[in-house]
Amino acid sequence: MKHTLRALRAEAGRYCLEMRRYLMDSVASAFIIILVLVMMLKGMDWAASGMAASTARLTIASSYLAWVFAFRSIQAIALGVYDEVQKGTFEQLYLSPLGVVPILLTRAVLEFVFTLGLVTLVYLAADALAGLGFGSGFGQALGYILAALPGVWGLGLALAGVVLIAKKSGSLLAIVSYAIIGLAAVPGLPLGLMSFLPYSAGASAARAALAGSGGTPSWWPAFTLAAAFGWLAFGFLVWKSAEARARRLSLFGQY
Amino acid sequence: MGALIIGGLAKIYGKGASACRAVDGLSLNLPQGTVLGLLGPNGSGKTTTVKCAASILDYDGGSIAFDGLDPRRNRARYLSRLGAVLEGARNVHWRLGARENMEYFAGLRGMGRKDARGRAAELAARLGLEPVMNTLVGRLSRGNQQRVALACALMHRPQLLLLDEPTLGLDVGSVEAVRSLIPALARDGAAVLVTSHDMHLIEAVCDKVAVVRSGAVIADGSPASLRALFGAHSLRVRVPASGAERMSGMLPGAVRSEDEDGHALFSMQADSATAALELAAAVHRAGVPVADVELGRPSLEDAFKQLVAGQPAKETAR
Repeated sequence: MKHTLRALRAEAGRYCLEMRRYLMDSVASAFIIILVLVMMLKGMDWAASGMAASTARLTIASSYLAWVFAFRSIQAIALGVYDEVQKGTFEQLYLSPLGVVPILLTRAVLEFVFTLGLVTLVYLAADALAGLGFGSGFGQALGYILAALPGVWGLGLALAGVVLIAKKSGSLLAIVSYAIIGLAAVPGLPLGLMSFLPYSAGASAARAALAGSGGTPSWWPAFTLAAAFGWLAFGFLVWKSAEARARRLSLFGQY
Repeated sequence: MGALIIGGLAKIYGKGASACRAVDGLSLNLPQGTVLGLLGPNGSGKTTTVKCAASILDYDGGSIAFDGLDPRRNRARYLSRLGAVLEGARNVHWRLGARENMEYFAGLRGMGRKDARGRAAELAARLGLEPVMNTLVGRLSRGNQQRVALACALMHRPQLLLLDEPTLGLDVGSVEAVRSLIPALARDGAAVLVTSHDMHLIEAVCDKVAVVRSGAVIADGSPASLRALFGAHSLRVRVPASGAERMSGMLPGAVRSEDEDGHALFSMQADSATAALELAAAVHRAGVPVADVELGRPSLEDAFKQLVAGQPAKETAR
C-alpha cells in the first residue's frame, strides 16, 4: 500500500510539474474554450429568440462544458499512452510494479481536478460575457458529471488499448476526442437506450440540473454510477486484451 | 544470492509458413554479482531475449525466473527487483529535468521521496551528472541523456539489471563512464545482462559471454575462454579485391570481411605462432598480392566472427 501511494504521488508530482512548467499551454486552452463557448452563445442569440433560444443555449452550453471534462479525460488516458509509446517512455512505465492501469486512472483523476478549476473559470467568464443563465444547480451538475466520468475513463482505456496495437492511430484519437461531444449531448434522460451510452446518463442529468428542471428520479445517481462503472469495466477488458496482444507482438516501443 | 535463470526460451513471431523463431531454446544462467554479455549478429534474438526477461514481451516456451520469481506469476515482485535500459535516451521524459526524471521513476517503483533524493545525488556523483541535474533532458547531449536513462534504471537499487545496447551512439568519454560503472554494479551485488555490438565493452566488463545465433546460445564462457576457442594465435591478411577469390580457395577456414577501402580481410586462428607464420608464408608463395599481414593473439571479435560463421571450435569454452 505504501509503495502504491508513493507511485501515485510520483505521478501526481510529474503532472503538477508539467502543468506548472507549461502553464501557457493551459492558459491558452482555457482562453480558446471560453472563446468558442461565447461565440456559440452569441450565434445562438442571433439565430433564435425567446424560449427556443434559451433552451438551445442551455443545451449547447451544458453539453459543451460536459464535453470539456470528457475530452480532457480521454486526452489524459489515451493520448498519454499514445505520447509515451511514441516517445519511448511507455516501456519504463510498464516496468512499474504498480501496473499501468492505476497510473492511467491517477492521471484521469488529476485531470478531473484540473478540469474542475478550468470549467469553473470558463463558466464564470462565459456567464459574464454572454450570460449563461444557468440555474443554481451547478454543484449538482458537477456531481453527475463526476459520477459519469468513469465511463469516459473506460472509453479512454479502450482507446489507449487501440493506440497500443495500431500504428498511426493519432488521427483516430483526435476524431474520437471530438466525437464524444455527441455522448455529452444525446438525450439520456428519461431512461432509454441512449441512457446506456457512456457518459450520457450523467451529462443529461447535469443538463437537467443546470436548467433547474429537476426531473431526475431518485435512483438516477445510482444508475449513472452503475453505467459508468460498466463502461469502465469494458474499457479495462479492452485494454487487457490489447496489452496482451502488444506483449505478444512487441509493440510497446513502436513509433 | 539470486540468479536470473532462463531455460529453453522460445519466441515465435507470426504463424504457419511465415512464422519466425526469434528465440529458439535459449538458456542462460546469470548469478547476482556477475556481468553476462550477450553477443550476436543483428536479428539473432538478443533484444527479444532481453525484452522477455524484462517481462514486456510474452514468450511462447521455456521459463524465466529471477531469485525464484517467475515474471508471469509474480510480476510485481519480479519488477521491483528489475531495472532496465531498453531504448537508451528514449526511455526518459525529455520535458523533465535529470533529477526530476530520476525521482519520478524512483517513485513509480515505490521509493520514498527522501530516499529518492539521496539516491539521485549519489548516482549523479557516480555518473558525472551533477552539473546537469537541473537541466531538461531534451537539452542534454546524447551521452548525458543516456546516463540519465541509466541512472533512472538504477534508482531503486535493482538486483537484476538489463542493458540493451547501453553505449549505442555514445562518445568515447561516455562509453568509458558506462564501462567503469557496469562492473561496479556487479560488485554491489547486481546481476547484469548486457547486449552490445561493442566487443571492447563486452570484453572489458563481462565475466561471462554468451554468443547467440538464430535465437540460441552457440557458445558461452569467459571472454578468455572464448578467445582461445579457435587457437592461441591469430593471423589477419588484407588483400586487394582482385586476390580475394584465390585467398578464399587457399584458406577455407578463414573468416572473410571487407574493409572501407574495398580490401578483403581474412582472419584465421592457429594453435601456435609457427603455424600462423606457415599460413602467411603459404599465401606469399602462392603469389597473392598482400596489402597487410598481422600476427597476434585472437580477440573476442575474432572468436565471435568464427562462431557466427559456423566454424568448428577446437574445444568447448568454459
